[in-house]
Amino acid sequence: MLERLKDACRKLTARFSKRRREREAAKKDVPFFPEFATFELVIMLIAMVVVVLIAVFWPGVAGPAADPAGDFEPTAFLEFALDELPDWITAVGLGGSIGFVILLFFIPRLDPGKTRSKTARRIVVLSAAVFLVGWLGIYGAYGYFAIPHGSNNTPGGEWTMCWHCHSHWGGPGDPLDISRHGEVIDENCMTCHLDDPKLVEFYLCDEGLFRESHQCSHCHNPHAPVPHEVTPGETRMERMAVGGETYVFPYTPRNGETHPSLPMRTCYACHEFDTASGGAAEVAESSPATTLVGEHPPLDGRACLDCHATYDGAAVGVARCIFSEADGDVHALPGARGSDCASCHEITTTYER
Amino acid sequence: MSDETRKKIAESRWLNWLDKRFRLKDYIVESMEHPVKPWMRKWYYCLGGLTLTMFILLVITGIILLQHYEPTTAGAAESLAFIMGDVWMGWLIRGIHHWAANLMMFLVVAHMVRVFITGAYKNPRELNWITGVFLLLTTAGFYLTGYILPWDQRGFELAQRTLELVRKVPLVGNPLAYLVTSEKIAGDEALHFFYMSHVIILPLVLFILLLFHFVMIRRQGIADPL
Repeated sequence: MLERLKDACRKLTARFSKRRREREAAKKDVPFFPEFATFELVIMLIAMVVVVLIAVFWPGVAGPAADPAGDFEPTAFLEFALDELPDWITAVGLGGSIGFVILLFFIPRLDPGKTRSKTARRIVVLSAAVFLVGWLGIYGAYGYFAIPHGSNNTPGGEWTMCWHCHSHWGGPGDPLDISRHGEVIDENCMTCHLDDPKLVEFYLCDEGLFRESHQCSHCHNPHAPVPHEVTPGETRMERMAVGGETYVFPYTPRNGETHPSLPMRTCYACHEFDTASGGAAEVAESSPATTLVGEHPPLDGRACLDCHATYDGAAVGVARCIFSEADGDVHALPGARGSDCASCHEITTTYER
Repeated sequence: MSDETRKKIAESRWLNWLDKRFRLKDYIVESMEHPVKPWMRKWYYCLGGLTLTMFILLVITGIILLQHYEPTTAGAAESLAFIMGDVWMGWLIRGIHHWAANLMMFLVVAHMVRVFITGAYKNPRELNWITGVFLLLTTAGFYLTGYILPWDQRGFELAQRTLELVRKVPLVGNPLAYLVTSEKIAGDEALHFFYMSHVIILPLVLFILLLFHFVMIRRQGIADPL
């Protein structure tokens, strides 16, 4: 028994000794080459690859030439702050920044000791963390809030601040009306994006396609990092001159059209193409006097009349044609009906299966 | 260094060729054998080296961009559009330049934070810390001037606001702003100044500071953490 105990102790001691030897070995210097040099080179190589990958996926954008004669618009976060904030805050901020840089020069003088107490270490780590997080926070805010549209091609819009879209005042408890985040108030979009009232009439007024049930931000993402993601689907951005300014709109306007032909995929984000609640039937019920724009949804092997009733409501299935004109005539030809839709209609859809 | 590596170096024809002319072999061998503490093999001890990597990337891509960039208010934005659209891989070169600049700014600050936390600025490394602060300011200068060069609305307004800020500084503000431009509204003169700063003055300053920084690191080694 005693022998076994001694043996166990010996093994334990040997194990600890081995670890101690390993720890000691780890403390010894190693030559710069190849151990350290290889490690550093690998890290550098990874950094280079990361930069190239970022540049491939998010290439820089080139804005249009500056117009010094034009109206001044705050185009950067800092400049915007300089305009908006009271002078004394600007002076304090500027003075603080200069003071901080001067302080940096004197850090070796202010902290001359060769060692640090535990408390001092904690303070150093905490202050460094606060600085880094604060600095990154400002940097992030600059990148996120100041570029809600993610496009460098929209003068005046690119650097718009959050409260320009998310309302201005939601009361003391919700100063920026953030509770409506994601439901950007349409009027705020219109201040920049709409010089043509037709769009409001067609889509958002009482008789409009979307009435009060939809908002711009339901389909458009103002925070999209790249222009073609502003609207889901395949809608692309188009540069347009409106009211003397150049804007980038997320669609290709056709003759007399003020809004894009929305890809149906945009609708599918919320609506099921079936007769269930929230589906096409409900849309048709709530907006009978609307014209659907855009491509046809996937047929999934169905015949047209599987879904489309004749316009007078004698439905095949339950769904009524939601593509009817405002006057109630499907074909703009009173009385025109028929089941051989394909003889007149060519249905093309990228989602057709 | 293993004996085999040492033998390879001793027998290397091109190293011997170089050594006859520049007497570099001893220096190279000494550098390779330079003792390094094992605890330095951590990613946060590479932040300085990573900053240098970004700088090298910026120099390479910057030289390519320099070939096509036109430093005039009339042609800057157009030349940039040309780089992005017509120059072979121009969009990528500019993208790398753009992101490397952002990362360099971030890495400089992160490196300083690491130095601050590990107390690497303490005696006898005070001068290296001060050089580091100057390097931070130089990098910020690069960032500012680089932001202005595309001369899009952002660049122009940043130049204009910077000048306005400088002019507000009591006594020296106006003469300083006059060094940049004699015009009230930033134009070609200001753009030339920022361009010259970005491609000549600041690179020279940075090179001198970096040289000093590296020589000091070589002489003093990496500081032990407190």
